[in-house]
Amino acid sequence: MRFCVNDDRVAWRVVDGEGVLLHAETSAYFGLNRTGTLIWQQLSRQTMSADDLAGWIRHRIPGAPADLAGDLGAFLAQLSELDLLDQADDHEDPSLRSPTIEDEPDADTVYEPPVVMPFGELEKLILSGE
Amino acid sequence: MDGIGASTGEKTRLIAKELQVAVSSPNRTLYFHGESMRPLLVEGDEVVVEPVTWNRIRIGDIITYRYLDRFPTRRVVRKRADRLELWCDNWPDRSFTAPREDVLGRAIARRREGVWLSARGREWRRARNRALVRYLRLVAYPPVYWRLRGIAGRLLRAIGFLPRRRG
Repeated sequence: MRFCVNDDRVAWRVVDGEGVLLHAETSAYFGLNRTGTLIWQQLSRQTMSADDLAGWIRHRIPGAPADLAGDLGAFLAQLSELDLLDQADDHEDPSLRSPTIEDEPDADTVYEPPVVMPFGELEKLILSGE
Repeated sequence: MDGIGASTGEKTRLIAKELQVAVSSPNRTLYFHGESMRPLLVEGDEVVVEPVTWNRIRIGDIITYRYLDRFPTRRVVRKRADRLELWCDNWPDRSFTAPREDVLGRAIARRREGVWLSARGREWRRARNRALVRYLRLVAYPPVYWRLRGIAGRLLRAIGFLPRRRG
């Protein structure tokens, strides 16, 4: 199973290293911590499996633990459940199975388990004309 | 953000609200509040705002920008290198400024009582032209406007298109 950002329904922005996501149809919004934001940005560039993503995190964050399956599995499952990620079967596009790791390792980045924090739903935005 | 705890909840909420502008569409409209842009926009109108690059902003456009935790929506009357000068069609005595980095988008359509009006439509363009002429007349160049109007009046009277003044 591979994952990618649900571009059709999710708008997002990174501020000071942390992501804010808005589901356009439900108006639910979420915050990501720094590791979660790095993963999100990577999935916005490339469709990846959980195993590929674990390899990319270990490359990108030298201090990341060897076993990321638990953290990553829970994070991806939660994002998928919230309809923030799209999923595709591995066999759909074999060319995407081996991602290109272009990012340089960043020793300053501290690994923390990736977290997505639901904040609730927004009401319709009011344009101020008063 | 310093984390995603409750202390940053308001900032996260504000960013999410800005993202609502980015995903605005005919199915996800924004609510216009107030009377400052009457008659084109009135309380309760549903508005679609699309993200716009700085270079594509034109005089007469209605833009939405961030100001504290609000999203004013006003008409562009002057464009400077780093900011927009804004005016409200129904508030002739007030003007506003939006820094370039705070501009979020441009209004492109309005729905009132189920009827859509596009920024490309004739009614929208007429409202824009009327507002700009009114701005020029009342705010931007009143001395020049009135002087030109006086010259035109004298000229028209001299050639007989207007009756001569008595006394």
